[in-house]
Amino acid sequence: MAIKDITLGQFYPAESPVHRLDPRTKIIGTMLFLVSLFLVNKMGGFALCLALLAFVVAVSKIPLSYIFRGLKPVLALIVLTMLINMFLSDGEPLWSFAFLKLTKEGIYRAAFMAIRLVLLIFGTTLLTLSTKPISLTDGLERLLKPFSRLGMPAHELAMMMSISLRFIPTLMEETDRIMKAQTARGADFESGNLMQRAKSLIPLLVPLFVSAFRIASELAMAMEARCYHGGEGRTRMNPMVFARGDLYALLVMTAYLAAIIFVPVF
Amino acid sequence: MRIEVKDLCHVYSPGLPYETVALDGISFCCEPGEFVGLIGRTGSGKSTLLQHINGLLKPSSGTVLADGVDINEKSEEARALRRRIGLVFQYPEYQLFEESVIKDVCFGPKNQGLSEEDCKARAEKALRLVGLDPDEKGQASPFTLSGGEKRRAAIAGVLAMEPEVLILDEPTAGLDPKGRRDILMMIENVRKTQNITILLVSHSMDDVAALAERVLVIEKGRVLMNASTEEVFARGGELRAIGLSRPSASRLLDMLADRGLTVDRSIISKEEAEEEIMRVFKKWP
Repeated sequence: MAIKDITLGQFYPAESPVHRLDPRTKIIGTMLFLVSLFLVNKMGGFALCLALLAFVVAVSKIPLSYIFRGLKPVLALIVLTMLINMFLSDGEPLWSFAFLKLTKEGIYRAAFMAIRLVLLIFGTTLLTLSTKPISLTDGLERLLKPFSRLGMPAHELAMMMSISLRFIPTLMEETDRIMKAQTARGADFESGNLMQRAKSLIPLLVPLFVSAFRIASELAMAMEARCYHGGEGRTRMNPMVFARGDLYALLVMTAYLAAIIFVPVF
Repeated sequence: MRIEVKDLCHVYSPGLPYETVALDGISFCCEPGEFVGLIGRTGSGKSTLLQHINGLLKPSSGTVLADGVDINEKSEEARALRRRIGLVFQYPEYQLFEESVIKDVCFGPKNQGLSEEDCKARAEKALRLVGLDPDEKGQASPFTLSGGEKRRAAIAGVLAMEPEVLILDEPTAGLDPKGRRDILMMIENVRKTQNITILLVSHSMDDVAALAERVLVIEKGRVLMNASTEEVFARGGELRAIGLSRPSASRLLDMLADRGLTVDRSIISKEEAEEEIMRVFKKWP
């Protein structure tokens, strides 16, 4: 009901070896997993991907229902991909109607694409479920650091990301508050045609912008007051450490990738 | 208008892991024309309660009656009743949005469906009521006003709707002493001239003691006390136990009494305390 009930991100707090991994390891691991999905060209390969995924899920202590929840927003896309592949592939027709024909190859390809998409989503969902958004940006910053020599503002990008993540709930609360205050003055955000509704947003958007600028300038002041001067020479309170667990995780990923590439069954 | 709250409960995010019971069986009445103070520590459920009184939040169970009609009914009558209950939020200046003060104050009456002239007349009246000159400040952008003026302009925005019940959520929070005094005097003034029911939430015991006739103390979503201002502030120990206190005048008298003077501890207003102290010190040998 209230806007502030919307949860942001989907971090699932738990004490598990996967949660404890360095965010960099998890980002790299997930990227390797995604690459492997596109290297696989046989159903056998997917069995290995699924086995790895099942293993990580089991270790992470994240309930399966949370992982399946990630599928919901993209379900339509998966179904559409399946339908297109099923009916528009060349091959031996099993059934046909006008320009549509259902082929054996089509069904195989549809299943193949669907599995690939589902695994893709499971993999990325697992990353966001087991890593806090803030450590995710920290990890990204660290990984992008080598590129800062080439002029990429890695620290600034990561700082922007963490600030926007941090302030989404604040702005949501602010929106809720202003909406209520204007409703108390008789504003109506729900009825009327499109034009009227767009107009009715003015009493909400103007104060929201004012608040956003106020919050931004206060934040800038607070950062300045604590001597923030960009990423140059900045150290961390909780430095990321590459622990033994990370080594094992990367070894598992390397072995997995090697198996996908070199073992003919996969 | 008579407000009656019956057995009101409100649960945030029911069924989710972070479910919280904000209100747990609240019942009380506000008689027409009464000035009720509402105190309680942060997180006791005051703001949640206020939002129920004009229908912004729907109760999980229980009812809010205005003149005997449930304001959460879907009827036109209930809608009309809700409009007669004005709510001034905390930091109301953050809701200002129009290009001029007068236009902003007109927003409420315009939503009530009044004509342009009526809106303007109401807005000017409301601005005078809060001590802003419509000729001088009316055309200014609300964002150029001082903090206290912004707050008063925002309160005028609610007053222009001519509510019969006015609910104020910490109207003096974050203002300097002069801004505070202005707001409090304005509330007194509105009370006297408009004869409306007022419900004031405040963390300042002094403000509540100076203005309210009756005080409700809310703690953990329940009504802990509901009595006249004098009676509530006589129970200093209980108030301290939940993080509140007696007004500063009473605390001063308490201290004098602790040092062996015979003073009347039941006094809560500054003026009476002053007299009492003068009386005692005149007898000083």
